[in-house]
Formats: sequence, structure tokens, C-alpha cells
Amino acid sequence: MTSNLNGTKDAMDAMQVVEEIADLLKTGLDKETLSICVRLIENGVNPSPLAHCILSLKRDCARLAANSALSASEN
Amino acid sequence: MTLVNLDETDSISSSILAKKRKIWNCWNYDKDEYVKEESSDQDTDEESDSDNGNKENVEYNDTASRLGELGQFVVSEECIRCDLKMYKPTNISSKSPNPNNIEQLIFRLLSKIASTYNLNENLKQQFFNDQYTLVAKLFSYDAYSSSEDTLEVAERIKKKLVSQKKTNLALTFQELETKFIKLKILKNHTAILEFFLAYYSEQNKYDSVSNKNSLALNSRLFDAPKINDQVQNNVIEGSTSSQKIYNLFKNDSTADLIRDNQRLKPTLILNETYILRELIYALQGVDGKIFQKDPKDMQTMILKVEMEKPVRMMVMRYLESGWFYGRLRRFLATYNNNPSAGLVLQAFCAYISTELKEYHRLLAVLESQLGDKDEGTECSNITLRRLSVWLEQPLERLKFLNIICDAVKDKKGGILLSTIFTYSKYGDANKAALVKSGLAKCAIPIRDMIIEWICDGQIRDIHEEFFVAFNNSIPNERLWHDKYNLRISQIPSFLSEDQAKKILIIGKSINFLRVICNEQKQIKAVTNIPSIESMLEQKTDTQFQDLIDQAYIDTSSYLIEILLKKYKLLDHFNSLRKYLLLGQGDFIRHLMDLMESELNKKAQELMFPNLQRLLDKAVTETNAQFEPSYIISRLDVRLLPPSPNDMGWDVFSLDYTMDGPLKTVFNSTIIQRYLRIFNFLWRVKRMEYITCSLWSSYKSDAEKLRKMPEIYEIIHQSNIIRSEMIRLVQNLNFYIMFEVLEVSWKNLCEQLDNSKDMDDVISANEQFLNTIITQLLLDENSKEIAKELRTIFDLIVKMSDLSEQFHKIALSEYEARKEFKEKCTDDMDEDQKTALDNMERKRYHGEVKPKIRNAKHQLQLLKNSFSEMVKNLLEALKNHPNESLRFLSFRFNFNEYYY
Repeated sequence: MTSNLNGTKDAMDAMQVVEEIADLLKTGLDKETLSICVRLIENGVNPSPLAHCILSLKRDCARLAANSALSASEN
Repeated sequence: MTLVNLDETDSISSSILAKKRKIWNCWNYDKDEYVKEESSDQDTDEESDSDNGNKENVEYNDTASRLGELGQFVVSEECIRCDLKMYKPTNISSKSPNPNNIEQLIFRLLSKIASTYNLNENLKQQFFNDQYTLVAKLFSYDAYSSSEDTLEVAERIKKKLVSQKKTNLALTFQELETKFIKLKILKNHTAILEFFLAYYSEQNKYDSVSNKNSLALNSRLFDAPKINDQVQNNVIEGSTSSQKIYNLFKNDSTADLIRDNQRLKPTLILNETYILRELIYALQGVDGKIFQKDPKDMQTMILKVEMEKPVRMMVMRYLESGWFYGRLRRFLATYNNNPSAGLVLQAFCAYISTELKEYHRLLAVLESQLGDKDEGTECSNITLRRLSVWLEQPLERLKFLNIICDAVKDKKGGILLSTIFTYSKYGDANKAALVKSGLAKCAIPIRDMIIEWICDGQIRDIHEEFFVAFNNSIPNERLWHDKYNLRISQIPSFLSEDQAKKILIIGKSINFLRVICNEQKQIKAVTNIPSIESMLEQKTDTQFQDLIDQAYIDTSSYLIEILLKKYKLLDHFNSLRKYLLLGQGDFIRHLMDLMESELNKKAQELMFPNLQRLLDKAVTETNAQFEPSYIISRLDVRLLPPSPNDMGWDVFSLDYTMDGPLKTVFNSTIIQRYLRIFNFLWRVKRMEYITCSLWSSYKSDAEKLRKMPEIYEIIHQSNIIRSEMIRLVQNLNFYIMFEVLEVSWKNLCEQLDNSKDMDDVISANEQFLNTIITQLLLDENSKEIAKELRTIFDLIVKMSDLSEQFHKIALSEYEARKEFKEKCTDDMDEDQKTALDNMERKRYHGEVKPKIRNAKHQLQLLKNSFSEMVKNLLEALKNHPNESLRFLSFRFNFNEYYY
């Protein structure tokens, strides 16, 4: 049980550091996205495509949202 | 159908997800959503669709809020820990990504991003469908393995910050970095840093581009792969996203994949394991997705995908060994099992295929190190850089083998071995060892041929690779001389020419014994076959040399023994000397006595049977009768083809017939040369005979001749000439017997005693004959001198005729005077006496005196020409290159009578 607790603490610490780096680099990624990314990477996903992918997803998403907002206003 | 697929994916995922209930809920929600969508799609009812959407929205929001809770704590912390536990570094096989796990994460990622932008349900659906396949595809590539150092990546981030003049940020980053690296719970620091680096630089780039051109907003960095139009039109086909992934890989979408790869920024897609996997195919010359054969020459591999320059350089370097491999394969295809290629070449091919087997083994090891993609147990023990260590030596080996292959192409047998042998002197010890091991394999056929040849005298060499050649068209009597020859070019350079000659003689002797001598006994069975190494490394290992030497000594001595004991070679040499070289004096003299009258006839009138009868008579009446019959029966008469005006003397010759193995030593040309010598000796002997009989006839008539003072002068003259001739002939005879024949004979005997093999015997005999022929002025150089000698001999014969005629005249005169004296008795009166006396005087002056004068004149002529010829002869001899002939000249003229 203690080891589990230790593990949780370690994980929190790790996320803390990762978050700090993300903030420093002004990635604008929130905690959850970051944790997903870290897990993906830890699972062996290639980091560079992942970075591109997330950026692209964000952009697409933004575009979709903008489009829908536009169409909504038109309607 | 979709349901079945659903079940499949369900069963796969459920087995893993069962452990994590919370995530299971999330997943379950997504799945439900799709199932519902499917049904609604079938309905094509907009209303119900919107209803569903609302319901989903509620449910989704519900899940999203749940995710929100989890995201803070449970997901981010516990799940990471959970995963980290699963992927303990001790368990190497689990390092590769777990596709199902990743799938969930992707879903969560998409949901998260969608929720951040507050998309409504339809848009979210569209977004999911649009992006899921792309993202899944991106991540479903082979496990990423970092090729860079953590510090290096960190350094790059810092540089980036510094270059944007954010030095303080860089310093903060440095602190964070040290903290970060110390985090033990993360195992892939580099990758995370790389993620940040990529994210950061991409973001910056995007920002700058969007600043410059707002259009760039719409131009995506990469497009979603267009699997089919339906997907693009957002028509949901009732297949789950996981099935789409499945289709993507099971269908023929690989071509699309590559096309997409080319369109995409390649470094995004091509992770290292994927390249490595493709490389292993390329190293065997097999087309893959990245590397394909150049359609132009079907040899070189070309890259189908662009790569970063350093990766490309590395990959190109490895492809080189694939190219070498392909060349070797083509070499094997051309020559292996090709009946026209020689045995040695085939052995070489076998050696190359074992080398290629080694190479295959290496590739198999590499592949197993890469792990099995299907089982998801990939690991990254191998990187492109590490591969260079693995491939360094095989590449060198392949390259060197290629060089050798090029060199030995279309060669065969000993030439091929010599070519390979030159490479074994290579300075690089590894390469030299490689060549030596290859050479040891290639030399086996030749080694076996040598063994078979020196044991059984057999050649099995359909490709003409052995350095002993044989010619079946040669008759047996020329077996020793012409049937077997050395192919000098085919002697492998690790064998000396001396050894090759010995090997030739051994097998030749075996064949000779078997075919000519009818000796079937096996001479030597090679019990221990010498190792190839002893053949190649003769300086250090004498096994092969010993075998050759031993076999040579055994075979040759056995052959010589058979020749001497069974075929009495020495006896035949002896009888040749006795009869053809006139060594047996009594026999020759008697033969000459018997044959004189017969041989004084013209050549055309000779009766062959008569001569044979006289020969038999001479044999039975002299010491020759004690010779063993196997010798004396071979003695025969031969008549040389006569030319016009030839006397019997010119064409007569003794002959000595040879058969069996003797015919090899004494072949017809050798016997011909013996006959030439006999002819000369026989002529000289006859001159001696003539001059002797001249003297004896003079002696017998001397009493009567002395009573006629008128012929004193002429007799004196002829005596002088005769003694000159006798002296010349005797000196010549002495020279022939003591300086030529006996000396040569002694040498011959010594050489025969020392001869080790048949060739020695033959060459001793030839040398014997050569010496005699040169010293008897029978060779080409002495043709002129021989002609003069011949003229001198003719003069001697003429002298004999002349003196015979003169004796006849003198004796008839003697008889006439005796008669005259008897007539002049005392009781006759003066007148009668005077009349008789006058008559006698008249007769003498009228008939005899001119004859005598004529004879005297002819004698004078003969004397002049004789001394002229002798002078010429001496002059010629004095300048003869042969030393003993120069001494002969001195012998003739020792008292300087001639000049």
C-alpha cells in the first residue's frame, strides 16, 4: 500500500515537472492532455508526430468550431 | 458483419480493459455511441438522429465530467503509474506499444480536444471520424526508439529558446530539465523532451506562418488519408474506428500509405523500427515499402521515400551490403549447378552459399532482435546506428567475396585456384583467413583429382581443370611421351612446378605399368589423405609434399625395377652397344669378312635373304652365339632405301628390334639414330678394313714387285699414300672408340644407375646418343665436315681400286718377264735373242709403260687431292665448337706434317 502511495506521489511529482516545462514552453496544454501525451509517449508513440498531430487536431477543431459558429450565426 | 467485427474488437479490448473499470466505462460509452449511430443511420430519420444526438450529448457530457475528475488525478497519476508498472524496464518484450491501450488514449485525447473547443455533437462526430483514422495510423506505426541523447534534445530546446532571446526561460528550463531527468517514474525522458521540442517548434512555425498568411490556417500540415469518399462525406458506414484501422492495414491501402508518406513530412511517419524492418528486407534484395529495386537495372535498391539526410546516408551505406548480396546471388544463379562450370567453380559457389547462409543467420538474428510486429512484442535493441556495428564485418566480407567473384568469373580449375590464392596474401588478416577458408573448400576437387591420379592413375576431369591432361588418341607406344601432359597454366600457384611434374610422372608411371607392362599390382594406397591445408601451407606443413615424394619414389622405383628385372633394360643397352655400336669386335670383323663380296655389289642387286643368312652365320661362328636368345633374336639386317650408284656398303645396316616397354625407351626415332651411328661406324670400319687389305696385298706381292725397278717409284708413292691413309683411319678409329663411345658409355651407365624414374632413363639415353652424334660429326652443324670426311673415304676406296689395278698390271708384267726369261735360253743364237729382246722391249714400251705412267699419274692426282682434303678437314676440325673434335685435329696433325 505504501509503495502504491509512493508511486502516486512520484507520478504527481513527475506531472508537476512536465507541466512546468509545458508552461515554460507556452504549449497551452492542460494537465489532462499532457498526461495523455506522456502516457502515449511512454507507450512508445513517436513524439514528433504526436506533437504535430495535437497541434493539427487543435487547429482542425478550432476551424470546425469557427465554421459551426459562422453557420449558426448565418442561420 | 459489422457486429461480428464489433465483437472481435470488443473481445480484444475487453480482455485488457477488464482490469481498469474506469477506463472501461469510458470506452464502453464510446462503443455504445457508435452502435447507436449505426442504427440511427439505418433509419435515416433526421429526427431520431437528433434525438440520439441529444441523448448522446447528455451521456457524453456525463462521461466528460467523469473524465474531468479522472483527468486530474486518477487518469493522469494512477494510470501512468499503472502503465509504468506494466512496462517495467526489466520486461523487455513489453516495451513496444500496446495498440489497445493507445487506442483508448487517442479517444481520450480527441474527446478532450473536442470538449476544449466546445464542439456540438455533430461536429464532434465529424471531427472524430475525420481525425481518428489519421491519428491512429500515425501512432500505430512501429514503436518509436529514440536515436538521440536526452541531453542533446534538452540542449536543442535551450538553443531554440536562446535563439528567440528568451535566455531567462532557457535558464529556468535548465533547472527543470535536471529535475525532469531525475524522475525515475518516467522511462522515456528523451521522447518526452522531443515531444516538447517538436510541439514548441511547430507551434512557433505555425504562429509565424499564420502571421504572414492567414490562408495557412486552412492549409493543414498534412491531410487525413483519403481512404474512401464515404469517409470524407462523413457517411458513417457502421464500422467502428478500430475496424477502420483494421481495414487500413488489411486492405490494399499500403500504396496509399506510401503515397501519403511521400506527401507527408517523411520524418513524421518513418520511425526507426519501421526503417530497420524494411532494411532487413532490402539487405536480402527483397522489395519492401521503402526500398525497392531500381526498375532500370533490377539491381540497386532505391529509396521510395524521402528521408532526412543523415538517416539516408546511413541507410544507403547499409543498402550497399544488400547490393553485394544481390550480386553474389546472381553469381550463384549463373554458376551454381551449371554443368558447364567446372568442379572448382562449383565448390567455390558452395562456399559462397555457406557464407550467404551466415549472412542470412545474421539477418534472422537482427530480425528477432527487432521483435515481432504482429505479436506486439517489438523492442528497440537495434537502432540504425547499432546496425552499423552489426553490419560492419559482414559488409566487408560480402564486398571482398564480390571482388573475388569478379576475378574468378569464367575461370576454372587451377587458374581459378591460383586467382583465389593471390587474394590469400591479402594484408588484412581477416580477409586472408576468409580467402583461405574458401580456398580450402575450392581446392578439394583438385586435391581429390591428385589423390586419384597418384593412386590409380585415373583422371576424371570433364571440365579440363586438372593440370594433367591426357589425349586418348595417342597410341600406347607413345603413352609415356605424349599421352599425358602438364597444363602449365592450370597448375595452382600453391604447387611448385617440380611437384606438378612429379605428380605427372607418378600417374604416368602407374598407367605405364598397367597398360604397357601389364603389371596390375597396386603400388601405393594412400591411407591418410593429406589435409587441404598441407597443400596450401606447404611451408609449415609437409604432409602433402611427403605424400608426393613418397608416392613418387615408390612408383618410380617400382617401374625401374620392373624395367631392369623383367625387361632387362641394361642387357639391351649392352647389346646395342655391342652390335649397333660395333663393340663386339670379333663379330663385326667376321661379319665384314663374310659380307665383303656381297656388299661390293650394287645396292639394287643385294639379296636380303643372303644377307640374313650371312648374319646368322656370323652369329653362330663368333662369340655372339653365347648371347641369350632374347637378345640375339632381335638382331636383324636392314637395308636403307638406296639411291642410284649406291654400293651395298652404303645401304647395309644391322637392326635391333624392340617391343613392349622397351619401345618407350627405344622408340623408332631413337633406333633410327642408333642406325645412323652404326652406318658411320660401319663405314669407318670398312676404311680400316680396306687400308689393311691394301697393306696385306702389297706385302704378299712385294717379293715380285721388287724385281721390277721401273715401278719402284710408283710403289714408293703408293706406300706413302697408303700409310697416310692408314694413319688417318686408325686415328679416327681410336678417337671413336676411346674418346667417344667408351666415355659416353661410361656416362650412360652412371646415369642409368642413378636414374629415379623413367624420364631419367629416357633422357640418359638421349644424352648418350646426342653426345655420340655430335662427336661423330653426324649432327647438322658438322654436315660440311662430314662431307669432306666422306670424300676422304671415297678417295681411300679409289686408292684401293687403283692399287688393285696397278698390282694387276705389275703382276702381269712380272709374269711376262718371267716368260721372256724362260724363252731366252742359252741355246738360242744371237739373232733370235735380239729379235726376242726387241719384241719384249716393244711390248713393254708399247703396252705396259703407258699403263704404268697412267697409274703413276692417277696416283699423283689422288695423292694431291687426298692431302688437299685432309688439310681441309683439319682446318674445319680446328674451328669446331666441340672440344674433343678440336683435339682430333691435333691428333691427325700431331707432327705438323700437313701444315
